[in-house]
Amino acid sequence: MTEEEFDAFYAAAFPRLTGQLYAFTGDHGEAQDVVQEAFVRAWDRRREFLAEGAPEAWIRTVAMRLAVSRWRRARRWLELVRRTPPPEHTPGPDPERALLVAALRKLPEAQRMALVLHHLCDLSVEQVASETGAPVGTVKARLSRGRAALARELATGEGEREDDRVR
Amino acid sequence: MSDDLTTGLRELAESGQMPPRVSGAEVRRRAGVLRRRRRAATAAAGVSVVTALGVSLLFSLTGTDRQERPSPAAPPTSTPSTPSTRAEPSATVYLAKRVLLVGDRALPVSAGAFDTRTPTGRMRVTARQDITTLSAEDLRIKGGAGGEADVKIPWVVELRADDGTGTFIGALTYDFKAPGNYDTTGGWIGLGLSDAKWLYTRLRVGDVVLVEDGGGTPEPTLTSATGRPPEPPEPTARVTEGTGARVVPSPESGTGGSG
Repeated sequence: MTEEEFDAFYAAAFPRLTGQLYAFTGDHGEAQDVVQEAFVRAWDRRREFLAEGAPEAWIRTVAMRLAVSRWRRARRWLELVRRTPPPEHTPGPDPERALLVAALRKLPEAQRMALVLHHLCDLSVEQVASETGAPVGTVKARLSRGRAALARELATGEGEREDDRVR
Repeated sequence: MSDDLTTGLRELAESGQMPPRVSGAEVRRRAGVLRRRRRAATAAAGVSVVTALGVSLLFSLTGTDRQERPSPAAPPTSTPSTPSTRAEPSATVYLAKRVLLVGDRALPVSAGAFDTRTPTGRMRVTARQDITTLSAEDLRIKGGAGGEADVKIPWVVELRADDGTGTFIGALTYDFKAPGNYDTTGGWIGLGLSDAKWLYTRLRVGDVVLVEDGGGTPEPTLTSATGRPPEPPEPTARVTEGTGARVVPSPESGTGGSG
């Protein structure tokens, strides 16, 4: 991969990947940070990166792992200092989208990752399993639990909004 | 639900799409920096065995523990990088090694990560606080805090260089595994709780603390205040040739040893 090819790939894939990472992290700045860092590592290890034959998937995997790692560190102390969930960073104009972000953030990481990879990035259950290093059965369980929890959260969120409107 | 979810996630991802903040050339430049730093770290690890003896001799001669020790073998000119008119440092931090040397003790530290590097130089202790409150933004913690939460950092020793740059040493209460293993702070120097408390009781306002990027340490004598030797730094790269397995670098490996 020449420098020009890499730059073109970076320019083309960056927005798409930040979108996917935003769905995973719920934080625009964080999504940009981890995707950029993943591209830095990709160029640094381009032999390994190109050997995979799926450069965009490689970047996404690295970015997701970076996000998980940062999240773990940050959340560890967050649990110590406060019990309330983190605020929504950018409550966009669309309240349904904000609800989805909030609901996703309440899911365990493994469920959220499975949902994003399967439903957003179009990976099959088997591919999600190999990507996350979990057995296929586990991935299926994560998907079904994640979907159920999300549906519950979204239903509650809707209910709260309607309550607000009544009052 | 699945179709709804796919649609919802697609819309969400579309709304989250953002253009790159820096150019492709800048990304490649940063990759180059990463590679050079990793090579330097590998080289440093290679020579550390050779230098360990020399460094331990150096420390015993320069007497960083403030105890007056006789140094019969040392001519007065053998104290490098510290002119005799300047105060001896009470503690020295080697960021790349993630260690703080004070006296004959080596305390594992975790300093500023890749994008929030800890300032280096010769600093003086300007204040000590047994506990201080910092906003999450001050600490540059990401992943949802957003400056909303305040964090209490115990055993804080504030440091300032002559040119005005400063940082602080404190107890890293939210990530016990970090000291000695990886860098996680927003530019300050984090220690384990008991190590931080011990250092706090030892340092006084006006004491000199050197913060340096690299440097070897006398590995065999490393002990923390908790009596637990710090773990060796993580390998900077994994070699997995010829296995055909899917290999993705761990998130930590790229910044390992960067200080």
